[in-house]
Amino acid sequence: MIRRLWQIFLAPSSAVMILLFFIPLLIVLFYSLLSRGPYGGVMLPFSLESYGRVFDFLYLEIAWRSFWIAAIATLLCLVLGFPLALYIARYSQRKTLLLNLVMLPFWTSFLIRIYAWMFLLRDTGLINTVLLGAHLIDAPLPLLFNTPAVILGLVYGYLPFTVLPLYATIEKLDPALIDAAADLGANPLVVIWKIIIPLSKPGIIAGTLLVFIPCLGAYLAPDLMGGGKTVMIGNLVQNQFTASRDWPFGAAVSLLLMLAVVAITAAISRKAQDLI
Amino acid sequence: MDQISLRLNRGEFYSLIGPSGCGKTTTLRMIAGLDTPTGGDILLNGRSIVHLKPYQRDITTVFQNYALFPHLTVRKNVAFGLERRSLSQAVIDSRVEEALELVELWGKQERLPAQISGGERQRVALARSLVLRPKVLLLDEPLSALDPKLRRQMRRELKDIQRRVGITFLFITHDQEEALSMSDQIAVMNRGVLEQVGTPQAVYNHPASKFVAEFLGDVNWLGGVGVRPEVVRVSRDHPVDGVRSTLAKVQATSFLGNCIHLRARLNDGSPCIAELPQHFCEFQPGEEVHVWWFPDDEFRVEGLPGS
Repeated sequence: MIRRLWQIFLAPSSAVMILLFFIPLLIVLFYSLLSRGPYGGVMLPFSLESYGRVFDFLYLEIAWRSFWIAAIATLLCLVLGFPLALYIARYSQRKTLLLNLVMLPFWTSFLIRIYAWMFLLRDTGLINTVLLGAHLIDAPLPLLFNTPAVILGLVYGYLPFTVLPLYATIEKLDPALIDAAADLGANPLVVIWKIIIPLSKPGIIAGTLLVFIPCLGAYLAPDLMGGGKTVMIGNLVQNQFTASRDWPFGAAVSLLLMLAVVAITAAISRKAQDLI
Repeated sequence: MDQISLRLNRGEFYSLIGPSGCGKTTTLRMIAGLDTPTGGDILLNGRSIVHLKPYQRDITTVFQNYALFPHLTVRKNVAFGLERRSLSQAVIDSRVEEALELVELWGKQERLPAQISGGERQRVALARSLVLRPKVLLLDEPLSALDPKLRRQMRRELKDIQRRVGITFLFITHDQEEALSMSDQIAVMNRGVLEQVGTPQAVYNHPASKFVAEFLGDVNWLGGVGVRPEVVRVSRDHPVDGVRSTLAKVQATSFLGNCIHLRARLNDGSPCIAELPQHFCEFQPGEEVHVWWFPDDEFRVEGLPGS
């Protein structure tokens, strides 16, 4: 009876997963094994050529760039997010308000928020206008359309995803542990380094996964804030399905990106189990 | 918390006892430096420490639920305080070993706190604090998380360890049996003030207030004096001269294993409990008896009606 009930309740989500995830994934796999059509699309014969081309130096460079941009963005999110999460969880009297402020940006679309950043950063944007007006600079600072701007966009977009899991783990920490460490002679920095950070590992790992994976496949931030000059994997894939009209190659790159993400997640999760 | 003034002599075992919410944990946290008093001073060897951070004080604490660091082994937990001081690794290692041997845990030093029993965790917490050789060790209800049998055993061990290391212990508890059995001096606290400080015998036998008398054990209030149940005698015959005696009616007896409790009501209506050897079970409810005690065994407290 219970089993039957479960089947009924799970049916809609199973249908969604099969229709909207599993079948499209199979289509992508299928496309990646075909040949390129003259005006986009795919045609016979079957071929593994697309997979071979992934290892061209050009594409490896894009993959490598995506990797280190995602890594830097993740690291920055952790470094910026940890003090914030620690403050909210341990010292703030207004936890709910601050947590809501952390989540506030989600009320607006990411696209609109990226455009807002562009209005701030571009040559005729607010920052450059003010600095020029104050005669602090002679020419506009190159704040937009470069790799740092892409990283800024990613950090801005994904910071809440590190703050929230970090907050959840720090909040659960027994305050007596911190008292005990202080009592045994640890100054506040040592308490953070030796007690709070090691015991926040589950939150650090969750935050890392939640930021690194979407950053690796990021599309909007590099496209808009990088001005197309900082090409990441997401842009490469998009380009194959539009301008380059090479659907099999785009499909192959997407699948390999997915495999890489699965491998990274599995590795980090296994490591996490050892740690916890 | 109101004003309290407490003076500890070096190397003695003190208990600070009181009901929950009386301010004893706040007192401990102020001595440890985890909370700041709004006024007054805390002196250690004549030197004010009230402005010092917890890690600058020669005082360590054993916390209620041990507060062992779950990610560190027993050895690392005990070494934690030593590593904060500039000591060589060899000194740290030997002192950790010495401390773990003191609490009979050498051999389990590589285990994590989750891999040892509750009593063992308690001893790790003790070793972690003692290894720093503090002037004063604060213990915040350290036995309350243990089961009763283990608690009695730990009481003896704790007292024994205190005697061996010669460090001043300030033991916070709400359990009068713990305080009475381990302490050299007991400080009884209520509603933020110290009601009485003295040896276990003094505070138990000559309590200064009704609160102290009742907090440390059962007490019968008979005609303006307090009498502990274990000094009350009951007999059918008229007792000898020179004792305090009164007539009472037996209400019930209850068997407690090592003794019985006989409940009686005096002619003036006041209830009385006598703790008696087993053969006193023969008394029947409704029977008229003499309830008596020696004058030396009674005590008077201030503020009691009729005293």
